[in-house]
Amino acid sequence: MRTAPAEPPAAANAGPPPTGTRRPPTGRGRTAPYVVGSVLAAVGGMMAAFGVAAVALGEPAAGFGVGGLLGVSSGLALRLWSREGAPARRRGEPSRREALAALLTAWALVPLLGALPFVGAGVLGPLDAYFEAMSGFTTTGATVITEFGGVGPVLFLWRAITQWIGGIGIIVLFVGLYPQLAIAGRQLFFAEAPGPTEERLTPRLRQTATALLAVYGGLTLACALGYAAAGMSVYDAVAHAFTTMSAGGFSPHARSFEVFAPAVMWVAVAFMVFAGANFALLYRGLAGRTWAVLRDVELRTYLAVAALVSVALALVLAADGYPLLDAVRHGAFQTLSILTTTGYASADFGIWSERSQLLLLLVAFVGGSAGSAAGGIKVARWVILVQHTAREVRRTLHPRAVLPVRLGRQVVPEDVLRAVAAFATLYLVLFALTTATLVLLGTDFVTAFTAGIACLGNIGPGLGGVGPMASYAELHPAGKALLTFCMYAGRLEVVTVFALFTRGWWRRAHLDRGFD
Amino acid sequence: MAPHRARGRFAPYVLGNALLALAVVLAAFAFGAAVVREHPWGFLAAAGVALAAGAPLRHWGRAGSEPTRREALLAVLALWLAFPLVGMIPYVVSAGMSPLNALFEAMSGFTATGATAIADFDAVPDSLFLFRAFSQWTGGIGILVLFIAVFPQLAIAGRQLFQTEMPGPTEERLTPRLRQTASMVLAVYLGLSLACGVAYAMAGMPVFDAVTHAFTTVAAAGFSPSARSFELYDPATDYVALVFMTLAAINFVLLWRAFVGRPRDLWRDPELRAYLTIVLVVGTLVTIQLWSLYLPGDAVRHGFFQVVSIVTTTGYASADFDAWPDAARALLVFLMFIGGSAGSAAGGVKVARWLIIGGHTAREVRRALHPRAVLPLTIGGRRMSEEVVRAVAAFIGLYTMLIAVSTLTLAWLGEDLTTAFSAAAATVGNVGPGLGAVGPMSSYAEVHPVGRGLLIFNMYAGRLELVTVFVLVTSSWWRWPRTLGRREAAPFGSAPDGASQRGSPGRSDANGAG
Repeated sequence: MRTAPAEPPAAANAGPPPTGTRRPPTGRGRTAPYVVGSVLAAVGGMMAAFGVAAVALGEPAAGFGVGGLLGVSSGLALRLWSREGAPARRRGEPSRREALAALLTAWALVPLLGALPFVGAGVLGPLDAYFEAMSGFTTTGATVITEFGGVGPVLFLWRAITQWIGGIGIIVLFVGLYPQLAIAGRQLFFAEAPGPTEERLTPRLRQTATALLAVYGGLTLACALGYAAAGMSVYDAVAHAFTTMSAGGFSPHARSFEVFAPAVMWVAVAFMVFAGANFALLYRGLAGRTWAVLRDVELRTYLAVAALVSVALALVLAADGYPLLDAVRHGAFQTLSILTTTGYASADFGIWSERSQLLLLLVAFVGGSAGSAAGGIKVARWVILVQHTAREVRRTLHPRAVLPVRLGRQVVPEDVLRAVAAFATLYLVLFALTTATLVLLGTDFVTAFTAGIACLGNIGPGLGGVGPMASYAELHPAGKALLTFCMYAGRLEVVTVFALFTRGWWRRAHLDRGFD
Repeated sequence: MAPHRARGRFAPYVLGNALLALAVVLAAFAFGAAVVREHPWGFLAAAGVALAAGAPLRHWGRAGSEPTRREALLAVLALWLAFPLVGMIPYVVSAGMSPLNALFEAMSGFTATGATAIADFDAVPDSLFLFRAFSQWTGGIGILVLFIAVFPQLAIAGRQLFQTEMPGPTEERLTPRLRQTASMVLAVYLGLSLACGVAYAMAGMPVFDAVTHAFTTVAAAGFSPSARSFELYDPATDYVALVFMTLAAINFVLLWRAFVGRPRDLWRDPELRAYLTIVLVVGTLVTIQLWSLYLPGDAVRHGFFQVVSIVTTTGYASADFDAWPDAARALLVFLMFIGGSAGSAAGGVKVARWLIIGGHTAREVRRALHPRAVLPLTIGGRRMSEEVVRAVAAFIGLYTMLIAVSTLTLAWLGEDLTTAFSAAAATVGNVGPGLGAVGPMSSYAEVHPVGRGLLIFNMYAGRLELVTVFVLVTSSWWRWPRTLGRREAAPFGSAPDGASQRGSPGRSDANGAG
């Protein structure tokens, strides 16, 4: 690998330094410990609070207690170690490697903490608990719990809140880190970002992050109120609001949404639509620029896919014997649930007809909008990929034609196209390898296939042995470990995870210079 | 300076000539059938149709000089459609197959796929089996010429995708290039076929079987006059097949070079190495799965035979692999996606494309850390242009989408998911047998008619590298040359591979950042 000639530290980071200031040296790069430490401390603090609640309600609190202690102490320790005289934020821009390291570590360590309450309550073994916690923080929603009766309300609420936190994490990632890392280009997440493209954590971006978090929080509140108004108990409303807005899908009920009234399901449909949409768009919509929002190509495609497949599914279900209204309700609910990678089940779709399962399988591969809490390949990438493919087909006839790929009115630069192509390839290969490995470990083909896409796409339930009313508990431990990795990789957009395996990651780690 | 173009007569000329040649072949088969006292009527009728269609086309067509890109594509598309349409007639007349099944069989023949719609093997006369095998053999030649002479010029995968520089001066114009290529291909092909036939006979196959299998092995195609495929024959034949299937899936230009005394290029070929690695790894995995089913020697034999058969997209079966453990079946289905080497008779995505997209993906992963790094992609010592990478990415996208749509359609029509998925993969990849209802010992005859029609399309599109066929659906195809102006007039041999004078906005070539 040959890097661009004369690659001074300043040049590798984006943009010119702010006028009038001399860019400080990056130093030993302590952003990662700082960020990770903060997150650990925050989660630990939350666990401590849950511990208190657990004690008050007579539930096992040991897991929460230990987790809280570990989280807060390790978090604070990391933060202390990283400071060394000045807060990392003022020491210049964190390098790419720093930012990536923070990302990857946080999403790996936090579920370790989050697993402790499950172990402490004796509900799950260590590997299973880590699976469950990862499923929480990656907003997947796949569960290894078989005995729902053995889990108390506090623990279920903790499970739900891990997904809500996961959703926050994603937003922060998009706003704070992804633009800097230029993963698939910032244009992917802010389709019509006003102003010049900047890549640093400027105050403007921090404001954006705050604004988006406000939207997220507000919608969660509205969702809870909606659920309560439709008839859910307060506890259920809160627990489900947490997992709806994060497109996560955990439910304290073993039969998921099957137990709820139709009105509740329609509330869920509405808020799942929001959860699967680009949060920046939602913010702009709420701030009054509705027209711009409705013109967004990705949003239109997303809604069109949702509508078309819902209708198709409703028709199939009606033909299968559901009364018409129920068919419509189930059609809309289940389509959106899988499309947005939430993963709720309004009925056991594992026993639905093959045709309806096919439709669900179709949307499982699509995913939600980029910049939302949803997982999957993302609608924006599909829009780009289809255009890119069509363009190459046309080039067979006209090799010199100038045919830019567009997302709306914006032209998608070639490096973004390349990144999207690489993402799709990696995704496909990882999916195939996972399916093959699971099959080799003894799982039947349908279960393996759907488990792979359900975890990689952060959906949750699959078909067959990992259907919505079943559990991942019966899988081979190695398979569960692999699926845990899939959830992790899928959430972190796959490409970043594999950066760990490149030689460039590990070089010059010992040098004082920040690794740019 | 671009040579003067003759307008719009190239395709009819080529097609006419080809059909006339086919008519002669069919007449020969009619004669042969009569000699062994089987019905010659099917062949005669087909010969008649070929003559009736070919003569006027040939008369109307003009060789001219360089055809345009559009004309060349048209010729290719027409050839692989016309031959099955004519070739289906003997199946209808002499074997009593329905037209749809006959078309399926004929397409499966000329695209060297090997999927069969024959339900009753006893109803098919030997002369027809020989014709079936011969159609695959011819298909193989056609494919090789296509790959080596035509596609690189059309930039259907970029010149760099196939190491196709032939010894001697690089001939840019199509017709002389075609002639050069055809003679080279024929030499290697004939030699291999002969050696293969002799080897089969020595391994214990009767002469007729040895000939028909030699035809379909060297074309990496897979038809067999035996309903149980290779299960019928001695184990020794499996090993012969192993060797020749592998050879058939190697880039023929490299084989040629090895023949004429430069085997080094062959040893160093990254595609061959990747292929051998895959066969070794997956073959071992499959063998392990079979360990409890067979004696150790047989398990190894079956495991590696089947892996090679599927990866090279030949499609023979040494046993009913549909009855094997789930894990082995799943592995085989995944293998269908890989394919043989570019520039060989094998189908599938092609190892070269996987190498390129793999290299590109690794490069993009590195870019997560260094967005501005200049990271040229080299495979086997040759630099791959961004052009090629894009084309490969688009191809794989199209391939996956076609298989997904096919799977969904077939399942929608009532097939179970395993059958649907494996049928889709086996036809687009020109492998042949799938799993479930279309397993190696079964037939595609029972598939829903619409499904069969779709699969016929899949075989056709898959063999012609998808893009050729899908270009038809782009609007620019349908415009008359006159109104397109300068762009359309691009002469055939002018694929600007790797040349980055596009000037599209925001495009960066070797540099990472936009």
